[in-house]
Amino acid sequence: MTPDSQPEGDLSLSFQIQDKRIANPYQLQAELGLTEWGEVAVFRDFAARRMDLGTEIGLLRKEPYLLSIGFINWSPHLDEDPQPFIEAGYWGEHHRVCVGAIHAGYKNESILGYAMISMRGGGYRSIGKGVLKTHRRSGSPATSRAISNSIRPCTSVIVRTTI
Amino acid sequence: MGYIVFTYTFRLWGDRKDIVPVATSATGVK
Repeated sequence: MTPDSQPEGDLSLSFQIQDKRIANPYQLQAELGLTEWGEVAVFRDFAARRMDLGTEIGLLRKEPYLLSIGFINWSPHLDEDPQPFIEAGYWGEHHRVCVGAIHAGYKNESILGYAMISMRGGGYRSIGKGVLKTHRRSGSPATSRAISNSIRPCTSVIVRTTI
Repeated sequence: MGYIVFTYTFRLWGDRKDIVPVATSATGVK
């Protein structure tokens, strides 16, 4: 749950660990960018065999500044309501921070998060048009760095506190 | 009460056209 959304046509996979009072303690999240400003997400907890839904809409996309709204943890089959949120973020090249608020059940919570692009490569597998191959052919160090950053994994930690 | 969410994300599929260098093919190279 960060204010950045996947670019149109991009699919990302996340592994999440979180307090069980928020949602599934261990779950996988698949995010698919539908447009330049919106994505849908599916959360899957294999232990509990439950699946939640989420979505995000980018209201402001002037990087490094982002503002998004959406909802997460919606389980229509378990009759659990979606948790709407609003988030603003500063999305730097390597270091990223976000603040926001989320309505979960009967209470409101603040959101404070930090995300970092991995300094090491790996974790990426191109099934599409071969970004890695393009990267290797590029002779520009600056371009290589830009592409390398875009394909590196991102680690984020978010703290939700009851308001 | 505070709760922590830890997330590790990587891209499975996609092609970011905005950062792909212009000269990605032999076209125009003489």
